[in-house]
Parts: sequence; structure tokens; C-alpha cells
Amino acid sequence: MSFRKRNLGLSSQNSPTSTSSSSSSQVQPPPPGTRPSPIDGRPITSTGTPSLDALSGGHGGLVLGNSLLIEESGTTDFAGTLLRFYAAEGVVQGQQVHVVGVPEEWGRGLPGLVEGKDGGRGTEGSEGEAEKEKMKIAWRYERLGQFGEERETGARNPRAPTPKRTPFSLSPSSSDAAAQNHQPFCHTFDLTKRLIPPSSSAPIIYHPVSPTNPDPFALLLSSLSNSLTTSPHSLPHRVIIPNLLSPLLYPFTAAHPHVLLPFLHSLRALLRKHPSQITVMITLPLTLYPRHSGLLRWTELLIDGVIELTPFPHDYSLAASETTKTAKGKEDEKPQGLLKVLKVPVLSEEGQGLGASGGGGEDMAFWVSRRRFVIKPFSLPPVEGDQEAQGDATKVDIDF
Amino acid sequence: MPSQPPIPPLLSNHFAVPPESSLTLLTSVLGASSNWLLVRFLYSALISRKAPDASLASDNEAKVVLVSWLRDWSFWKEGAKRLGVALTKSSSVTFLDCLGTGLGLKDGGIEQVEGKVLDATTELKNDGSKVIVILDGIDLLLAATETSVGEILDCVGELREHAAIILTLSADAPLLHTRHTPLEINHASLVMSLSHQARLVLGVRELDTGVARDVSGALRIGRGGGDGAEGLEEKELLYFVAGDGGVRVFERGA
Repeated sequence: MSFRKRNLGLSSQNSPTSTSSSSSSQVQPPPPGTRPSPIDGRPITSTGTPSLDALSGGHGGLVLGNSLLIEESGTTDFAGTLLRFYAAEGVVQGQQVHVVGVPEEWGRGLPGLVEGKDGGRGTEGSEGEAEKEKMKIAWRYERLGQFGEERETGARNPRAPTPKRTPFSLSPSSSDAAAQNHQPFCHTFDLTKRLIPPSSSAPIIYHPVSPTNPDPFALLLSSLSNSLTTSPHSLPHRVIIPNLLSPLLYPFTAAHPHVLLPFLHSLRALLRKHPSQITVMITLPLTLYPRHSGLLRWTELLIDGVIELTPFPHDYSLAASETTKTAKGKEDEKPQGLLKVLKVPVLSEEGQGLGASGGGGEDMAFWVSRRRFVIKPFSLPPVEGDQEAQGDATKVDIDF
Repeated sequence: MPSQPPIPPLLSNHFAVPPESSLTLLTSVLGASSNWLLVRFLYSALISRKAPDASLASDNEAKVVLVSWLRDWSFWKEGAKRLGVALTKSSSVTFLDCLGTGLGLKDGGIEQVEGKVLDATTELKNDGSKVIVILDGIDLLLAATETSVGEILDCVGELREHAAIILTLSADAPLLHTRHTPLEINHASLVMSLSHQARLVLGVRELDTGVARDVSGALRIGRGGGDGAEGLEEKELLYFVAGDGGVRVFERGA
């Protein structure tokens, strides 16, 4: 008896959480900048940073209807870099981008698109080649790259649910779908350039936060909700909330649990109400709101994914030794900080451990260069002169 | 990997339908969610199993009032579907969506929650069946609203007169041990009071030794201060939740 029921459950598990989203996507091409997750077919969208997409536990991007919190300690703004890539990706993909609390200059400073053979998927490929030896987390990501390419050529991937794919070739809008398939899933951006938004993209919507209103979030929620319900159902939205609770942008009352937590709860409700329409990325300064406080823990509990960045302090002696490496053309060799995955969207809710995220439980570090934000497993460099250790220093293998 | 039985064999007794008016606590932390436990309580309540022990066979089925502040209906439906139970609101489950409606966070406060849950319980009890009330994330009311510890305890106490209660609470260290702000002090006091009343406390947390690929976390089973768990063994186990939702529970070192 129980055996039969178990089989029933297994056979139907491939369908996405929301039945409404699956039925609607059967008659439409995928919304701009999304593709079905190779795990369960739910629509995913790129964060604009391939190695951050790879930390989603096999989904290969941020699953729509989920939020991501990036915490950073210290005075640096690496989290802001991730946020800018995320925003720029949204603009380039033609998604509706919402920016909360910061002036419009923020949106004008988005990183520019790298064109030509270096842009789009081409860079993903060349990056993958160059990094083949170093990038240990890449096996998941590379598989996803192949997944995307197979899709472009029309080949069937047995792992992906077929009902989402079949209509593309049958529906009259197949040419649209084909055109969209040529659009890369994740672009490459150059931090030193300025983004020129494509003519087709919707203008960024800015949601100002009044520094004098004791509840700065009240208006934000209603305008977000309005925008979601009035826009076409197929248009994905990205909400960007830089430096949440920073005293430069928010009144001190915003950090009161009775103001902040109801807002985050309502934001969570909004995400669940429109599971195929919206993603949110938030950054938060940890120096002001340390992780050992109850308020921040509740914040993390109410958001779907949490990542902590701990930048290394700038070390001038290391910077000096760096010049020798630069000569060898490895200027981005030195990690700029540690990255810790604290919660993974979707997976953490199901009870899966953090080992299931792309990182596989290894210590992660990040490197930022002009065009890339790279997240890789972190290993300390071998002691200089220790020839034996230098041979296999990158092999970090812990058995449990 | 072969598919796992819905209820891990090592826990078969713990997932039995809890006795009338008992309180069962599920605690979780940020990196280790107790949702997989809750889904299995739903499963064991809703599916009529032939219990090997004949004395258990009479009360191995119950109806459920599921009240969730943190997760929506489709999440629970999907979780139950993976175990082979189709949740439909009409049958033996009543779902109160406190995430979408903000029930308890708005003007009505916790009295409104209590009223709605009692209404739903009475309705399900009409045909004489047993009812379990699951409150998922009621501690949010304490953190996000003016609701006091006493009001939540009163609400739980009142509901226990009508049904067995399963509660999920966050047991992260910053919420239990910091105790600087009212939020932290109240949370610690709520968790403490409820675990004194509880029959059984099932706590999941991350591994103390770090993240592993093949272990999702540790599950600590302890008897609370309340009665009703005499036959149940206290133990600590490891568990692994696979990508397909299947769960393996095993002894340390197994």
C-alpha cells in the first residue's frame, strides 16, 4: 500500500510548485531572461554573476519568487557590485527593474555590457576554458552551460521536464521563442563602462524612501504590488534594495523589529503570491547590524537565500608581492574576501543542508576584477618553498 | 539511490499521531529547516497506516488545521505530494494562510488567530475525529508585533484544550542566547516556557563540525517538561535530505 503511494509521489514530483505558473507557461514562450531550472523546471533567472548563479544548488540561477540577501562587513561595497550586475542583467534582459531607496544616479552607474565575442555566452565559455583547472565548483556550472547550449540547438535534455519545452516548437510564436533562445542567459559586464540600456528595456522604476516617515516601507509595498498586478503576467520584475537599514538612506525607526519584520514578511508574501514574476536582492551592512543580533536573524529567516561577504583587510605587503604575479598575467589571483552561504533559496526550505549548494560545503572566497565577480573554493596558498605542498595545494578533500 | 520510505524507520514511533492536548515542538535554525519534519507529521496524520501495534491502530489518523506564517499553501502541498499525499483543502486539512493574509500581524492580533483556529478545529471535529493544530512560525508574532509571551502562551494553552498542538519555533543562538533586546529576551522566554510544557521536542540544527555533502544536519529528540512521551527514546541522530525530498535518518557513525 505504502509502496504504491510512494511511487505516485515520485512520478509527480517533477511538476513545479505552482501549478498556475506551469499551465500558463505551456502556452507562452519563457519570459525574458528566464529558463526552466534543470532540477525541477521552475523558471530561474540569472543574477548577472555566473559563479553566484552556480551557488544555487543546481538550479543554475535565482529561482523566480525568491529573494537573496547579501550581507557584508566592513566599509567595502563588494555586495554593491553583485547588486549592480544583478540590476544590469535585468535591464539587458528587458525585465522590469525596481530600485529602492537610492537616488537615480545609482541606476546610471550600472556596469556596461561587454559586446562582441567576449560578451554573453562566449565569455562564459572562454572563462570556463581559462579557469578549467582552477575552478573546482565549475562542474555544476559547466553542466548547466551545456544544458543551456543543448536547449539552444533544440536537443532534448532528458533531465529537464518536457512539457515546458514541447510547446515552443508547436506554438505559432516559435520564432519568438527561437529569438529568445539566442539571447544569452547571463551577460558579462564591465565595471569601468556605463550601461546603455537597450531601447526595448523598460525604464528602471525608483522607489524613494522617505527619511522622515517612521514606516518607510508602507508605500514601497503598495507600489510594488501595484506594479506587479498591472504589468503583463509574463514580465519578470527584479527588486533591488541596496544597503537596507543604512542610516544614510533609512530613518532609524526602520530598524525597529515591528517595522522591519512586518515589511519583510509582506515582501515574502508578495514573492509567494507572484512566484513566477519577481526576484528580490537585498544588501545589508553587517557592521551596523551584526549577525549575533536577534533582529538580523529574523531578517535572515524571512529571506530565502543569505550570503555573507567578509572582505579581507587590505594588506600592503601582499599587494607588493602581487606585482610578481601580475607579470605572469594572474592579476586576479589573490582573493579579496571570504564568502559564506548561510541559506540557499528553495533548498533550505526543503530542509536540505548547505552542502547541497554549489559550494559543496567548502570555504568560498571571492575575487573581483573589472569584468567578473568570481566565487571559488578558498584554500590557503602553500608555504613558500614547500615544493611538495605546492603540487597539490588546491586539492581540498574532506571526508565525513 | 533507492527512494526512502516517507517516515524514516528510526523515527516511526515519534511521528505517530500525538495524543490529545499534547504539545510537540519542532525547533530549527537558519541553515537547517524543520519543514521536512512537519511534512512528515502531516503525512502520518493524514494517511491511514496499518500500525504493527494493534493498540495504535485505533488512533493513527487525524485531521489537521495547518496555520503557517512563513510558508504558503503550495509549499506544503508540494511537500506532501512528494510523499504521496494529495492535500486538498476540502478533505481533512484546513489551511490558514497567515503569510498572504498577515493574520495575527494586523489589527485583530493573536485573538483573531485563536478565534479562526478554534472555528476550524470545531468544524473538523464535527464527525468526532481527532484534530491536530500545527502552528508554523507563531514566534514571528512575538518578534514582529506587540504580542507578548503571555498572550502566545495563553493562545497555545487554550488551543490545547481542543486539539493536539505541533509548534515550530526558531532556535537560533542569536535568538536564544543574546538576550540584549526585548526581541531576544522574549523569544528565549517563549521557547523556554513552551519546552517545559512540551511532550516532545524535535530540534534540527547544522552539524557542529561544519558543512558536509552527505549530511544535512543533526536531529535531537528530547522529552520536554510535559507528559505523554514516556515510551519515546531520547536520542540524537543525523539526517540527510536529498534533492528529491527523500530523507534518510541514521545514527552517528552509521
